[in-house]
Amino acid sequence: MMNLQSFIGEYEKAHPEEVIHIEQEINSRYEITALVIQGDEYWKDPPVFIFHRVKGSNGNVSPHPAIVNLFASRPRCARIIGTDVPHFARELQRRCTEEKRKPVVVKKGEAPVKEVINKGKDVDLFEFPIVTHHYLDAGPYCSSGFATTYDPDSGVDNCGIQRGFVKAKDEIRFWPCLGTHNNFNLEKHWERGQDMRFAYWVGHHPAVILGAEVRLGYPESHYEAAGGVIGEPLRLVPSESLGDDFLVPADAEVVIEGIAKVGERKAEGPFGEAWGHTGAQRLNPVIRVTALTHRRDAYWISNMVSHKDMQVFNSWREVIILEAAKRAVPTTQNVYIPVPGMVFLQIKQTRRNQGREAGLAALASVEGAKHIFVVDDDIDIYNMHDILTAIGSRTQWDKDVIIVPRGRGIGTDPSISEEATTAKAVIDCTKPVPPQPFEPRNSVPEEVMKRVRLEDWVAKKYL
Amino acid sequence: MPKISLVTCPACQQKFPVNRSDFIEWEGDCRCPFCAQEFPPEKGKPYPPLHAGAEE
Repeated sequence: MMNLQSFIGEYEKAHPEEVIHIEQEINSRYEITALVIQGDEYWKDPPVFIFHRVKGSNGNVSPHPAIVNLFASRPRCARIIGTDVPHFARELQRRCTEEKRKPVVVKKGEAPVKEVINKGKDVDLFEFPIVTHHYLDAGPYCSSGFATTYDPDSGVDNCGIQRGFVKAKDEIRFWPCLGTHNNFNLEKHWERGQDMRFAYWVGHHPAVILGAEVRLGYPESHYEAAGGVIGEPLRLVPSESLGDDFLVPADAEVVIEGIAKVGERKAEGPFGEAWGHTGAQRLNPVIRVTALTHRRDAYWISNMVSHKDMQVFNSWREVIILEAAKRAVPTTQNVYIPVPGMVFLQIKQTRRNQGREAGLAALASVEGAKHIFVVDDDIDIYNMHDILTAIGSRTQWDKDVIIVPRGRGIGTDPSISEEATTAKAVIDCTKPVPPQPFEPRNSVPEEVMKRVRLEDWVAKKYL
Repeated sequence: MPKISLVTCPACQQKFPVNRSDFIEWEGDCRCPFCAQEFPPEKGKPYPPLHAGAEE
């Protein structure tokens, strides 16, 4: 099956400028983030960085490479699922919902993730180059691991990327945010006095990562959605220490298995959140690691939270918002979430008030839909100048803004209330629908635009 | 009331934020991200206080 390393190999051949190998030794504590911040400023679509000599938390150079920025480029995210940027959210939505594939279970001997198996005192998470992202972070964080649990009633798997503070070589404290399906599973187990079985799987083909991260119904298998996105059944394998009915991806880079003992919560955080602020310390479940399995040459992925690499965290919300908006306004075209809390929704109006209708449907669809800016289809939602033009020139906020108080907020939003509620807003930035008149946009005749090209008028050295 | 309080580590005097509702509901120790000292948040003189009536 396709996997992370097969993807990197093929992608590097096709786009060598987008995969940068760094052999120079670098410290996992802050230094990787420092490079990512500068790269985000330097490149519009930053390349993938693969660090081959990372000094980890134990002071040693890790035998494993660290990979970051896999999702830092929107064009790369689109190419990962074989589409282009304007169709990315639509295609991801289609594959997750219409192309689901049941996974297959393989024998342990056929699973690359079982090439190395460590249990008990041999478990040492610090052999991996786990990044300490930002100043004030509690320590190294597993930021790209799919926290995986099972619903004790239906036996259906659930997974999603949820952060984990790697406190010790065999201890992780992870945050199953309120309202997530992993939190449902945790509460079900603990209310029944049962410890919860848990695994992190880290690293896979990025199409699997995009598919597995999409929010589904409950309970509904993320493994099936991931198979739909990559276009082949996900290969699963029984865990080493959690029983044969606890299945993990056979082609992942790393799997961390463990137990969340009933009621055990310890300090987790602070952590530099997706919203660009350092989230406060919490009391979160403790995972006592029971087994660590990995490929012999495993890569460790870190998702660079709050930087351009965050794309993967927003794409699943785009899928849900697009679906909801389309139900309300079938001519909804596209959606883009550049940063948490900000949603640009593009519609093609066929009658009046559709901006409000699409916006309200989007707003109610998911907790991350906080500020919905609805624009017309002549606005490029990936172009900030275009978006600001629409906001600045097509709105009168006394009638185009709808504010909904006390909606469900995301716990990591620093501006939400103590009760985790948030105000939400629809800002309708659409033009009046014809025959209502509206001043046309500035333009140059198309024939002139095609004929007069920058490269014909400006010396090459300037371009 | 804000969702966070700032506590001061009694060992190293550094300040860091804690989530109020978590520490009110479960009453566990907080952990200083600078020196790893673990202590009840009340000992870090949280501002605002975690519980009504507590001294600021």
